[in-house]
Amino acid sequence: MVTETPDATPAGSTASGEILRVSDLTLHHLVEDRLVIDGAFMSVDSGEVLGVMGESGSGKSALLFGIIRLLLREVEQRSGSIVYRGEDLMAKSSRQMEELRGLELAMIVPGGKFSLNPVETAGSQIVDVLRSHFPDRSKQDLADEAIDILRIIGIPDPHIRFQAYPHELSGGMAQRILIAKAMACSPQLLLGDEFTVGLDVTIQAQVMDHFHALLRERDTSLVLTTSDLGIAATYCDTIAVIRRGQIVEYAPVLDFFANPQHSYSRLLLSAAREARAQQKMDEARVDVERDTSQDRRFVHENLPAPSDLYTLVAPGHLVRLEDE
Amino acid sequence: MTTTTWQAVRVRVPRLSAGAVLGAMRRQKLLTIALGILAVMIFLAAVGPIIAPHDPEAVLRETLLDERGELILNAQGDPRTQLANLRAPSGAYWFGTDEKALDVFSRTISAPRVDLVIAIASTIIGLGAGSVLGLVAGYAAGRGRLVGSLAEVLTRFMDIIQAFPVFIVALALVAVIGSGQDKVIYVLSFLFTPIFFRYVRAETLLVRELTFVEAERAVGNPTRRIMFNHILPNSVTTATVQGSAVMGYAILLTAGLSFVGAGVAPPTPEWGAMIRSGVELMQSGQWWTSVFPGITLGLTVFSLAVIGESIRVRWRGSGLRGY
Repeated sequence: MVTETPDATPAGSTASGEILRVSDLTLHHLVEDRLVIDGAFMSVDSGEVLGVMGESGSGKSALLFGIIRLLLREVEQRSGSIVYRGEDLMAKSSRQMEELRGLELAMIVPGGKFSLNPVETAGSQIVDVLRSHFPDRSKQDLADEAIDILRIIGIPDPHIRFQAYPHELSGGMAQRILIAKAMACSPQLLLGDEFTVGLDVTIQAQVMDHFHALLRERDTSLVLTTSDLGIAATYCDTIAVIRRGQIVEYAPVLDFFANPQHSYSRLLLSAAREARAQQKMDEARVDVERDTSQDRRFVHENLPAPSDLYTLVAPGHLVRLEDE
Repeated sequence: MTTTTWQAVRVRVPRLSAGAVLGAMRRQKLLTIALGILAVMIFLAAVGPIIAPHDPEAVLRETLLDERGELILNAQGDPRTQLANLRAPSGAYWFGTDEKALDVFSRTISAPRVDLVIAIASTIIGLGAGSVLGLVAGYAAGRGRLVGSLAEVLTRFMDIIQAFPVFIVALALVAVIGSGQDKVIYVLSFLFTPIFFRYVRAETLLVRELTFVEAERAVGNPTRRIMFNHILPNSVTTATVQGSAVMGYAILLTAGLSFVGAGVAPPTPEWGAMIRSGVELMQSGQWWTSVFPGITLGLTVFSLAVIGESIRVRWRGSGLRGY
């Protein structure tokens, strides 16, 4: 269990610690002619882990790609603003976004070794990321730093892994390399797209525990999409449930598990009741209840959600009005 | 009770031993022969003119002897000489001499310096230009309206080059820019570019959609680095595999151009030009001027074809494909 907590953030902090604010984000798929994301919003504080939950096809990944502004060619943005540390990302040119990506915000993709360039060693891929942002530093210097990063990510024998090609890595190791690439330039905001899918449960816990500790240590924020209730309960501070591109419930993790309001959220949780995840969820709930300070740290007072569509049921707990 | 102890196992990386090489040579006789021929040609390209028994570009003269076997002197007291042209192969001239009294053996082993250099240089330049253009065209295809159309124009231009018969275009270009070793290299590079361009473009279209490319972008690599560091190394393989075959083609084209008088001009030793110089003599029985350079040319092209084919087969079987 992580005991270390960042010193700076006072309880119930709001705008001062806010790092990302998304409002009314709407993405339209031109070919399928449907809204992939429909009026999504979020507010992420520094050091917060926001879990975006939903079934596959609900638009979780599209939401992340929308934030980092790497949309498919057939997806266009209809409306919305994305403000990262007071800067409007929508106003950035693609060149400016290239500079921000990796340095300020970066994405961790799923897929293990299939998401790594097969003909380049793990180490030089990390060096590539570093060199994109620090072109003046020497190769040796960057290589040393890359090995440091591998060590920090929790990769045993970083010198050996540095020279390994993706096909020589195990799935868990490859996923850690992907995390290392995203964290190479110490970005303040990470977007994680179901990146533990495909790892077996013990490796998943190992990777997530270490990664979560690292986030705490560096006060880095994470927006994590997942369909795994166990992960959501264990590592997230705030939960957003998304269905058909719409956020249906947005709540601090304790409120969400103790008191889910939307019928779809209840459905999601009841689906897990039959599965093994239930036990983990109960454990997590106990953990969360015990550690109330952690829960209260990220309660958002002014979420950028339209008041005619959402009702506030508790501080920081919004529920979308149900259609019928 | 049994206890399991885990020990570090040192993984042996297969080393290239003499035994392994000999075994491979026994299994692949044809490839071994082809590599041997190519090695000889490369060796000749390096030292051919130096080890040649006669100067490949100098006219040979023989001293004249009278009945008693003594030198016939002219008015100045120097021995009288005559042109040693069209001598049959003998101990003095292994492959004989040609119409202009040049030593065919010396010329045949000096020619790789011209032919092989043209072949290697034009293939490398063609591969380089074709890869870069193919990468850009493949990456830009269907992107923005402007870049996309430019990429399309480039692709169609390459198609147009390939639509013409290669030899005819080569002749026309040489007619425009002039002949000579460097000019032939330019012309062939230009003609080979579309071959490599098509392979790299096609692979780039495939590779750019793979997950890892999106992943590289998401961690902050700029477009240029993604193209050259991440996509190109993955899309250049097919084109590289063709390199050896194209090199053989280059030698044939060079010889062909020289044969019709458009490539490398005599007296520079070049197989095509040498074959040409002996064509009329074949009927009168002086076969050696054309046959020896012809055989050497054939062996070189054959070895490159065998090597190219063997690389292609090996590469296809190695699972690098289907990625």
